[in-house]
Amino acid sequence: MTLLRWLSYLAVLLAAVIFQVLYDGYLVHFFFLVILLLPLFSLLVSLPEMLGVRALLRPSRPELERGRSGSWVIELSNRSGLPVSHGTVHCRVSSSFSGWESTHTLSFSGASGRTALYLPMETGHCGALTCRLERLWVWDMLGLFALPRPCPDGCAAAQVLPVVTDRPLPPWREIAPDAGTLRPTLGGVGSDYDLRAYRPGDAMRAVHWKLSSKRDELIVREALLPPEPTALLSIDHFGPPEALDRALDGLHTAALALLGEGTAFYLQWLHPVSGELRRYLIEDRRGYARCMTELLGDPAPETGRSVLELPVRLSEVSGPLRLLHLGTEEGAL
Amino acid sequence: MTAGKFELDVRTLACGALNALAGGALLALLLTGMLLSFAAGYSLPVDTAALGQAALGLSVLLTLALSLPRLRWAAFGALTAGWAVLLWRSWTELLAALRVLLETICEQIGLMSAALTFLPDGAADGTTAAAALILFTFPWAALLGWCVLRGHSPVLALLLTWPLLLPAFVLNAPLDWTALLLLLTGTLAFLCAARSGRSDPVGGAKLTLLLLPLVALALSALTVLSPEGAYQFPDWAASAQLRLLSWVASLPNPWVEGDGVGAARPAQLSETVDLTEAGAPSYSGAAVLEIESERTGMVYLRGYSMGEYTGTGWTALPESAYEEPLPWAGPGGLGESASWDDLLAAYPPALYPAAAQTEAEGEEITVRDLSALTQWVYTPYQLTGTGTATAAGDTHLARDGGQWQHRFDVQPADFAGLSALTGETAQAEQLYQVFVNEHYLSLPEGLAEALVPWTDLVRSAYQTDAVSSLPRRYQQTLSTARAVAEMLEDTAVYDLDVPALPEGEDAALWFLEGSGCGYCMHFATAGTVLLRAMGIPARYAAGYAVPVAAAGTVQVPDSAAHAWVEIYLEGYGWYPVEMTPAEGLPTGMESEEAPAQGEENAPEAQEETPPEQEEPSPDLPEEEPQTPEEETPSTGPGGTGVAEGESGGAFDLAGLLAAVGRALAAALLAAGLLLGGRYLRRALLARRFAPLHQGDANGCVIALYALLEDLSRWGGQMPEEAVRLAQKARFSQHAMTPEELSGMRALFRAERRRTEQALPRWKRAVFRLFWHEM
Repeated sequence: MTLLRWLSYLAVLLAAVIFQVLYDGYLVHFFFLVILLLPLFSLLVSLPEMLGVRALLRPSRPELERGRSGSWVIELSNRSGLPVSHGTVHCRVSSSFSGWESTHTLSFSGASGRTALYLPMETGHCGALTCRLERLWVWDMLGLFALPRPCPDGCAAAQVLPVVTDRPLPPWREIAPDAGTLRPTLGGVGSDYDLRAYRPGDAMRAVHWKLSSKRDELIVREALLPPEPTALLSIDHFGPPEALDRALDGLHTAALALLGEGTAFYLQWLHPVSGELRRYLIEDRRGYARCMTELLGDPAPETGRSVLELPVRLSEVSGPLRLLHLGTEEGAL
Repeated sequence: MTAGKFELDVRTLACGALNALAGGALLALLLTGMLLSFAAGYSLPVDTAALGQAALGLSVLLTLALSLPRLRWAAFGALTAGWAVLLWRSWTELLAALRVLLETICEQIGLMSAALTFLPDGAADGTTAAAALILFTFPWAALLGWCVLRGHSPVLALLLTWPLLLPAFVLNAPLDWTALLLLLTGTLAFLCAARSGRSDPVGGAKLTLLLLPLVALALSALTVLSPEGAYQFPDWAASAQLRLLSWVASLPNPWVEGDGVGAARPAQLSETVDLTEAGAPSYSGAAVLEIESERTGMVYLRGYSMGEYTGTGWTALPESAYEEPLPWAGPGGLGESASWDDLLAAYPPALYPAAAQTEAEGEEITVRDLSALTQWVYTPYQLTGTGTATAAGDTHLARDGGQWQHRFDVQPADFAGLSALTGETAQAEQLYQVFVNEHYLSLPEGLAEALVPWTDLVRSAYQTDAVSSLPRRYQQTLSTARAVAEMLEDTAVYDLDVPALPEGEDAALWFLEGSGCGYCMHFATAGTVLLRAMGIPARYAAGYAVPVAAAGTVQVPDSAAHAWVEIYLEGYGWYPVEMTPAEGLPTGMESEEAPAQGEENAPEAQEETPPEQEEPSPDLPEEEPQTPEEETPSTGPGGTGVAEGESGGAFDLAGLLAAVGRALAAALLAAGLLLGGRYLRRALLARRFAPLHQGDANGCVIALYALLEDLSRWGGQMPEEAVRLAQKARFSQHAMTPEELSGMRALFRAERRRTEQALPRWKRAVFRLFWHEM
């Protein structure tokens, strides 16, 4: 576009030169001078507007579900209060999860006060998106000279989260008979129970009054209940984007279901590059959000090593461990 | 009404007023400047004050009508109705005034106005003429107003204004400078602010209001820094003009009869002469010069003198010869470190002969260059001054800038009142003799010996007693020159069809001993080398020889190109000597009465050139040519050279350029209308469909709903699903999904297609123009 404008200007200048050469007259000479000096005049008058342009980048929503529409909002302002004839913003959007990158160029005009440009967000696949303003150029009134402007506030991030599916959680709480030793539970109801001395803080209901009357101390009764299983959600952090989306949807559904039940769980995956096992205990939504940020922040290549290849050891869990692996095939859990 | 809504309305009103103010200011400048410039450029008999006020008033009315947020068309309709009423009330008077205006315009641009007889005849005063101009240009003014206030299109506005003034520019019509500045201010401000104003109307209005005084200030400053009174045609432009026109003239002319290819013309457009080519020179018969002479007889107009003989042609002396230092200190403060260039610039040898003739009465010769297009001026001999031309060494007078007409005062070449040079001129001439003897006696090696038989022949058979009427000191030299001319006339045959010079042959010797035939170039060459061999400084001169039968204006065709010899007479200067036999001299030309003062002769001159001759010879006299029987060719009378130059446009090329300008203006207007229409459509479509390209899906859905509403004016219907989606996008917190947006687009496209197909054919074409994205 600038080239076209320069060509147009040079054509007009050439015509002025030809007229100046062929015609000896003050009017022709005056027009020649005007055309010759016009770009300089345009640049000088445009400088306040050009120097006053500022850009601020933010996402329309910092988190949004996959498939929902969202955009990167580039807020432009001009301290001079005068409009800019033309400007361009070069943005680079990348996803650390799937590794893609794209560049976009947006044009604008005016922006004497505050105005906003919208760049649609790529929400087709889950991931942690980063948008950066690489270059901001503004042109003078005639569109011949461009000035680069700095973009100190030109970086923003957003997360495209998985969607909740209607896939039901499998009955993971069913415990096999040999799931492990019974666990004494204060206040629990069970046929087997254990006795011990009273400790301050124990519920009065748990006191075995009959036995306590026979002894000169309070005895509490703890029912021996089977141990609660612990859910361990695992996901393979590699695969084609669509498969990863399915797995993440399953993970998201399962995680929200578990959290909805008030059940804490573990989430693990293998870092695809370092091979390090990442495992997080998730007890609430905030913890889940932090974990999801970590998950989406790690790159997800097409192929990798499955976390299932590693033996599952979770020493901090006394009860049975129930592994729920979120596969990339449809319905695999 | 809530406070917030009230504040919004006030702000909207303020923005609208700002836009109207800026647009109105631009429109006022463009409209007023254009109408006043138009009236001045075509010398229309209008009252400029009334015209200016009417233009301003119309600007205000158009601004009000086109800036209204609502009922715009009603206001414009009312304005149009008022215009129609005004026209109807004074229809006959206005038509008569229109006829006067149109006839004036036709007269200015040279068009026939016979077609205007359908308009009533009558006189019109300045005010009526101004009213007619305003009223009949109302549609154009309305279009201009729309461009400025609604279309924001500076290109269209530019095309509606400046091309109308182009014919006036081309014809060098006097223009109203103030009106032009107004128009220029408006144009430049609009051009600079329009782009940003399209997307940011308020910002654009602010910028426009800021730009208007800045542009006016800048233009005023430019007018002060480069005033008209101090204007001079720039040297670079003059030089470029000469080079350009010389190049144009040097292009082959396919309509010239005769061989022409490769044939060298006697009067070269370049500074060299090539004697190797065969064939005759070709001429078109077009007039290259026009002279006004008080003296009759043969007038020799020297263009360029060449002093270096190469054996196959002539060329100028090398630059280094002129850069050498003087042998001794010259007059006028010229020390020994001064060069020959310095001496010749201060004391041009072309002025020596007239300086030596102090008692002769001078006469005037005016030389007007029509299309000779050379860097040198064709001058008669015995000049008393160089006028506006500049002496370039001792070979020619150079053209200064865009000067195409020169008036020379000359003295007769019959040595009337001959006396000795005095003072500094004499000192300079004495110094110059050294230069002449050093450079104008030289011959290629061996040529002098080869010419001995011929020089002996001249001395033995043709040398006669000196003519006593000539000055004693020059009698011997002049009689020798005459003897050489007679010998050549007896020895060689004047023939335009010459064979090519064989490889390795000397041109002069080949002419004398080989071919034995040639024309003026060959005779002049042989004469020059023979004179040099006989110890007389001589050089080759090229120019035009013009026989002037009666005092007045004479057209000089290109066939009058001629070559002769100049010999140097010590104490006098260069003296022209004719070597060509009488049969080879140009014929007498018809002369016209002296033209009226200021009459432009260039266009008529071309019409009066003599018809082309059957044989490609410069002059084909069946009878004896009407040349005066004088020992030496007569040139115009001498005098003081108070040459007066007129700036450009004194040659018929201006007519050609004017015609080209008219054609260009017409093509520009047609292209402008086409481009303007296309641009208008693009702008409208961009405005209509721009909201669909925003990133926000909800905004897109709402924009599509608005388009569907617009479609209803063409017979479209609003699908229920579209209403539902639009309501969801507008009033809910829901972010429209890509599927919903796609669905809305599909609904719009389907409805657009259905609406288009339901329209009649002619309406369909219009619909397609404004409803299908480009």
